[in-house]
Amino acid sequence: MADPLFENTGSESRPTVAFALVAIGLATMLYGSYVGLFVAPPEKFMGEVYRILFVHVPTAWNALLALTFAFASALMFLFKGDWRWDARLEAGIEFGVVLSFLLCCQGAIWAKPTWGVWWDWDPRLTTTAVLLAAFLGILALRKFVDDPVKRATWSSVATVIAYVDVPIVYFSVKWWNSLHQMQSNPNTVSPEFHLPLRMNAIGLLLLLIGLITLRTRIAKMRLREELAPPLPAPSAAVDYATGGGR
Amino acid sequence: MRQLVAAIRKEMLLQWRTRAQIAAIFIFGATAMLLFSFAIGPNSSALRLHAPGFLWLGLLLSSTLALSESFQLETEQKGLEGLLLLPSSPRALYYAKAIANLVQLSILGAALIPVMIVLYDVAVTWNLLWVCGVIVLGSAGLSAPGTIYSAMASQARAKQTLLPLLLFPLVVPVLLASVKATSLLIEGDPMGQLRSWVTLVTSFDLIYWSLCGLVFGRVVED
Amino acid sequence: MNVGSGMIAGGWEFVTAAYVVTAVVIGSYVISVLTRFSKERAAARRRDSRPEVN
Repeated sequence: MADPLFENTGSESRPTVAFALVAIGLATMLYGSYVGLFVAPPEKFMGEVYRILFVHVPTAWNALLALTFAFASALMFLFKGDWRWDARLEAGIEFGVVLSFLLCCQGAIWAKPTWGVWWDWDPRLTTTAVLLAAFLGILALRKFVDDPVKRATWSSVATVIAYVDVPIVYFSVKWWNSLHQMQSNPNTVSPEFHLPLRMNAIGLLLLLIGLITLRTRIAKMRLREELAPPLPAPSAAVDYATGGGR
Repeated sequence: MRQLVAAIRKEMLLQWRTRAQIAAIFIFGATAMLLFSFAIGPNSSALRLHAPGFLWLGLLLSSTLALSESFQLETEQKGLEGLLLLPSSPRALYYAKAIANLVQLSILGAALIPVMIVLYDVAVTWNLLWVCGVIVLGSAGLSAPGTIYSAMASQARAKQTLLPLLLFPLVVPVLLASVKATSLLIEGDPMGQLRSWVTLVTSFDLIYWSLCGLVFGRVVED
Repeated sequence: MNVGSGMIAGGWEFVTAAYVVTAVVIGSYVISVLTRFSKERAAARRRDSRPEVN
């Protein structure tokens, strides 16, 4: 087969680098969280609650990164038609959805003690919720389309359409919300809190690269099966050359 | 260009022939608006305050019915393959369908205005034409992505679920801006915000009418 | 909340909740990916070992 999907499959069954990245990423996050929970001192205004930021901010960065990777993969698939980009698209969307869901949960847990409500219509969080819904819809689209070519093309188109909407949704919600409340979530973190934040961000990034690599390989294996299923083994009892049973 | 005109004429003819469907969808929209008032309760001030929101929600829900119809004929009688065999570009096909959907949704929206006035006791001291203008802009925002998603959904499983699932998150800015603009027109605009909201929905329309036209070819190609 | 003191009192239950939710979601996803990966790899090996017709 000329398609690059079917070449170089030998190294895929031994993804040692990907496993290592996942392990190191998890370990880094564990250490970063330990520092953030037990070593960093309480903050001046936020007390203990600010510690949530040590997981919330890295999750936000990596969620956007995963979905941007999905967007780039969608564009690459539409321009090049290379099936590997469809596999990457699937991986990017799936992890992006997981992180977006996590972000909404963390955002609600942050908002309750800070603003007194579970949801404060913060533009960034509300945009995340809309993004979560949009990309869950694209995962559903992939599930409901059986033809692999249509599935790949349509989910790439839908990803491009949804991603372009992100800044529009952000600005419209920001403006819509500003008419009712003036809020600001802390954007800057003082220097003594940088370590746990950076550790968690790097840890989650390594985890993201490792998991997306593995998930891409799962998608590639499934695609190979779908696009070129192996021929069935010949029946041992019939020998066509001699024209009779053995 | 001539392809586009021919395609539009075909779509308008189809719309005219299936006008009974628009009436049915209007009844659905009006019933939905009735249900909103039952959900809120007989609280006239609350209903009046949220009237534009209910109008747009009614239109949004009706749009799922209207949009899913738009590729019905093509899928039922294999019309899509036939159309693609003709030497006309898929882009002309897309814009014709999108314009037809825009017209249908605008008519629906305009028809729901009197329903809003009656059900939610909205005082009529405003310019009907401006509100219709907002309805056209908002319908354009629903129609552009709605047409492309309808093309996809009509060829997939779980068609009825897929279209709203894909469309609703995408058109959040259209909903926000249209409700705000309608509300400002109806209740007055002391701080002059109307222009910004209209600009928002117009920008959405421009971006998505271009983007969806560009990618439609990939959606229907074989 | 201690109004006026400028500091949010307590809140450890929220911090714990946030970290636990994060651990559960990320942990479940990692396990899910690893499980699916080994399953697909085993299925792929089975497919490749079947004799093919020339």
